[in-house]
Amino acid sequence: MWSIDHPEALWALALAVLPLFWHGQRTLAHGWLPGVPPDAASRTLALVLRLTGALTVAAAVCALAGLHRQGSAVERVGTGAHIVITLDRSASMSDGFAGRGAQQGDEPKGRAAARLLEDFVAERPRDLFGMVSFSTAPVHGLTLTGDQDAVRAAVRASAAPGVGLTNIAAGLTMALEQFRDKPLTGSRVVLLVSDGAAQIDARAQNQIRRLFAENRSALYWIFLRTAGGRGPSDPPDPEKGFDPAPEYFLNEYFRDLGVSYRLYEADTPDALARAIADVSRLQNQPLRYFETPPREDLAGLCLAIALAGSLLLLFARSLEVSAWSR
Amino acid sequence: MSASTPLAPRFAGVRTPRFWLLSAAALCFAVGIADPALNIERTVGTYQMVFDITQSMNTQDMGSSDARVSRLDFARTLAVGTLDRLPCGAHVGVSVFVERKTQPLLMPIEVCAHRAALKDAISHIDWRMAWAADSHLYYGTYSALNDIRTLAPGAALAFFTDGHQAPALHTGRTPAWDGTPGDIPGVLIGLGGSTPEPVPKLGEKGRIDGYWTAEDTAGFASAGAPTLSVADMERLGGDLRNAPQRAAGSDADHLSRRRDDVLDDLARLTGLGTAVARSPEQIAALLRALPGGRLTNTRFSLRVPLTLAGLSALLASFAPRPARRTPRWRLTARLPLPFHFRSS
Repeated sequence: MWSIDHPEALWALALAVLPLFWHGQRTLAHGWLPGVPPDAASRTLALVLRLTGALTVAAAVCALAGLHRQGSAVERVGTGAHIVITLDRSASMSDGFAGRGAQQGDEPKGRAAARLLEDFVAERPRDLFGMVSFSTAPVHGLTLTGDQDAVRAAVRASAAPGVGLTNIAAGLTMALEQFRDKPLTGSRVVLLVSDGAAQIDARAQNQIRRLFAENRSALYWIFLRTAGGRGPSDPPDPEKGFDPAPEYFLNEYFRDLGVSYRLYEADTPDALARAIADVSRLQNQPLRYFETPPREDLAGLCLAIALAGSLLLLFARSLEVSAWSR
Repeated sequence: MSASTPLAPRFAGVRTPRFWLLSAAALCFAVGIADPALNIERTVGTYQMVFDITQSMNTQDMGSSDARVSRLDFARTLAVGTLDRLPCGAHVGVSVFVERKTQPLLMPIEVCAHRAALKDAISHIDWRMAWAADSHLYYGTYSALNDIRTLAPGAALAFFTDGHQAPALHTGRTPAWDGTPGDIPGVLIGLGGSTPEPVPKLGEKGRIDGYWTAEDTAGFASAGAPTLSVADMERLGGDLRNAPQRAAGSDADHLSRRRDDVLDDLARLTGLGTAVARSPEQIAALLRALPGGRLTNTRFSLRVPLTLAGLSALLASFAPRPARRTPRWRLTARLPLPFHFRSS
């Protein structure tokens, strides 16, 4: 596939017509032209020299325009996945973990998650990553992309203290929308990292169920338990009277989605690291991905043609005679 | 070529200016193939672009008068245009601001290599990302500066905002800043018109459902109203107890314009600069003029200038010599040289 960096420079190709009219050759006065016999060889040579001039100009213009060949993407099969990182950025993510030995001044959950996720991204150079974060409202970070540095910059940005509430439904919906109209070339994963849950109303439940089915995405939920908080595996306690236990019911709902689903409960940064390593291992399934071969610059080749043309012309010029002497 | 030959050609093409022009062209092309380059050392900055996404930014008072766009739309277009006008090597990050805080979406990344990702993040910025509706611009600016201090040291701030503070502040209740003014360079880029315009209320699908009214805004109290005793209230008279807790002069707060006074005040407190948003060229120039930044080597390829020079020389070598006055009645003609080749 040939492409050009500066198409507007191609207007200068019109200049290639000039050598067809301007031969740039020394002329000699001649007494009587009709007396010169027509010479096919001379005419051909004249035409060839003019065409050489035109070609030389055209080649130089192509070099200016930045002609290059961009090979079409080659499909390869490797291992990997399309992963949309769906990150909770609610205010509670600035709190510490629940695990034993937790104390004031520990690394906040949000920062630990950002740090470990950044490593996770760095270890998976072939995956495509998308980034969605949510608090009270969903926030689009990045569309699925292979730009690793950008994904890591987005993950790093999530280390900032969070704000607002935990609106999981909106975050999940936005994450699943990322897969819409994308070719299904590898396993799809929504990696939900949150430290709480919220009740999802029936309408949103149906929508999320439909989106999961349509987009054939797996769901991994890494739950970061807050100190003193409860997790998805604690059923509501009937002794306590009214106990909404949103984490428990959300887990039940996810299990009922009919998609590949896994729950990881992380109490400590180490547990979080283990959970992420496990996701990493699970997601090494065959993936069809496209690799774009590196760009092949043709400007040098164009210049070589221009050089050859001008050397040829130079040779012709050096054979020019200034006068016929007797 | 002996003297006995009746017509001996004299090869003199070598000495003509055309020959030298053509040689120069060939030389330019030859050197161009090697692709030499200059290494230019220049400073490139790192900028955190912060977008005010509070509802006043939906006010449609930007762009030409026949195609009004909202302040936020304008800011997004402006920011993407600015990306293309920053030198490669410059880094840009993206944050949004609502309520009291900024939320970084992307930490600074290089503008040329990651243009697609930056454009993706910027063009998806939406007022619906807001987690609250207040617009405490002073706190927001401090939060933006704090983000830079803790997460992206060395970066400068580019804050796209209309300066609309809601709810309005009571006099003397301007939030204080604990940093050193001018510590972090940056510029507050003012958006919005100079006449007060109604702020639209947008529905979930982005359609305008209505506009903010004076009653709506009166429902939100300004923080930090002076605490008055009953005796004070009686002395001041009127129905003070049931009056809205609004700062003086905020009756027309449901209308919004670019608040240069607020931006100037913020600039005074923080040492940031201010500007009225016009064009990407202007923003890029403003950012590049900010202090700070890193020295980087930029490779400036000489291939294009060499090719241009070669092409010019080549064309000049073809150009006909200025016409000599030749009497038309003379039966002579100028023939290109190849016609004169003859075997002898």
